[in-house]
Parts: sequence; C-alpha cells; structure tokens
Amino acid sequence: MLVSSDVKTKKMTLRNNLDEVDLKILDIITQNARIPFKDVAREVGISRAAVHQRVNRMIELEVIIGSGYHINPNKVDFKTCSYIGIYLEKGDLFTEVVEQLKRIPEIVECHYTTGQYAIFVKVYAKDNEHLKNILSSQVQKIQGIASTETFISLEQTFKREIPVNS
Amino acid sequence: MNNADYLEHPADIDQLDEKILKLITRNARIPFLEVARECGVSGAAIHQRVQRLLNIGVITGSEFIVDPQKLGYNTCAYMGIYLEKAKFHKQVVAAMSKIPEIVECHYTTGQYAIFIKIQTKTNKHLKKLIDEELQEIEGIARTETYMSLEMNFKRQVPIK
Repeated sequence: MLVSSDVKTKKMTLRNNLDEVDLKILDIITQNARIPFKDVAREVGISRAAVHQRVNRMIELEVIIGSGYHINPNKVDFKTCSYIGIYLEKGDLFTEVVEQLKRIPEIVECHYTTGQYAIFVKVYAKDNEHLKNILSSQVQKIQGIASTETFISLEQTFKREIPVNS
Repeated sequence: MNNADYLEHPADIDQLDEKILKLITRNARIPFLEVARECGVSGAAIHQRVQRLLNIGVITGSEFIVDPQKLGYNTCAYMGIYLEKAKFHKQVVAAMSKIPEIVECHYTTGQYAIFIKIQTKTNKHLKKLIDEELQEIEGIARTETYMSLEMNFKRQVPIK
C-alpha cells in the first residue's frame, strides 16, 4: 500500500501533479481557448464540471498562466520583427537593464542567455525606421548597455506551442 | 510582378476593434457580454466584430498560455543556423517543421540564415535533438546555440 502510493506521488511530481486527463485537456485548450468546456468534456470523457475543476486547479498550480487571442502583428501594422542581442558593460547591471527594457512596449520577449550576449530580446516595430528609433533613442540610451546586435527576421516561417502530449 | 505578393496592407480596423482586441488578447475566455458592456455596444456586435477580425486575419486563434517549466520543459534555447548553400533554405525549413520541439522559425538577416527557438525537457534532451535530428538535416552546415537561463517576460504586441 505504502509502496504504491509512494510510486504514485513520485510519478506525479515528475509532471507537477498532472495526470493524463490534465494533459489531454491542456492539449485541447492550448489550441483553442474559447472551446466550450462541454466539448472538451466529451472529447476527454469526463463531466463538464470536472473539466472546470481541473482547469481551475491548473490555474492555481500556475501550469496555466493566462489566455489570449493571437494577434497577427503584420495586420496591426507591426511589420518588422527582429531579435536583438545585448552586451552589457558589467554583468551585474542585468536587473536594472531588464527593468528599463520592460518599459518599451515593442519588446515582446526578453531572455537571460548564455553565449556571447547577456540579454536577448524580440522586438516588433512598425517598419525599419521605427526599429531604428527604438534602438537609437530607447534601447541604446539605457545605462549599462554597451552595444547591441540586430537580426531582422524577413519571415517568420512558423510559430507554435510546445508539444503538450509527449 | 504582382506587388500584392510582397505588399501587405495593415487591416482596416477602427477604435472599437482596438478596444475589443485589448480586452480579448488579455483574457480569451472573457464573456463577450462583459466586453460589450465595457465598449458600450451589444453582445451581438462584439460577436460580429470578433468574427470579422478572425476572417481578415487580425486574430489567428486563441490559446491558454502554459508555463513550459511546469510541463517539464526546462530548457529553452535559441539557435542560429548556417547553411551549406543558401538554396537549401526551403528543404531545411521543411525538415525542421517536423521537429515539434522547434517552436519558432525565422528567415533572418545577419550572420545566420535561419534562426529558431527550441523548448526541450532537459539539456540532455536538447543535446540529443541537436545530435540526432538537427544535424541529420541535409543542408545545415553548423549551428550556434544560445541557452536562455531565464525568460524575463513575454507578451503580445502593443495595441495603441
């Protein structure tokens, strides 16, 4: 008895307390957030109330950290997508620089990376001139940034979510 | 040459559309009645507007956002790819789209031909993926990997 429950807890902590049903639900709702829970329930083979309960639990566990519609940046006039590698003057300036970067709404993603750059960000600008403005009058004005290297994405060939069921 | 191939005009959206976008990009399951109340129009109007935004491709779908780490995806990396010859681009992209751990793929200027984002469970999983899958793809000369030690933030483009 004790052994089997031990095995069970161990297995569950591996996936942060998620079982197969949770993963199936996630797989469905990460593709379409507005799917009626009764359809999810039918597909997974449990009741609608149980789906609600499980989704709420995953929100509490912070497995689910939000929901939203995907915007196509091109259609809302953000035509230039680029990645920027940032070199810092000193490594310990990291926290301050990230705080400043966060204030620039066009920066949509920010990572602390290994390799030649200290920080790596993704930026959407309206056009190349807008990108130049963001770079010269905002990013490069931040104290602590030594220099930047920009890679412009000419085409986002694909973008998708991590595989949930694997 | 037909310039419609490379000139993509911004969609025709008004202030009400922008207000709706702001609300539903933050919470996909917000009841449309609540959106309607906030915007001062009817629920049916919101339905219609959202449908239109979907039809013209301003919104491309909805999702629940998951924390990759909670699902056991602990390693996030960016990788720059050098090709043996530029003309291999198409076949390399096609081969990469078959690897589910590659979540983003870009055709970039600068030193790399292709730039991708990868989510794997562990560093070992990443190594295995590079060794057994990526470097098996014909046309890839070499790769350079940047590991993300921490994602500081991630969000959608700003709607004015």
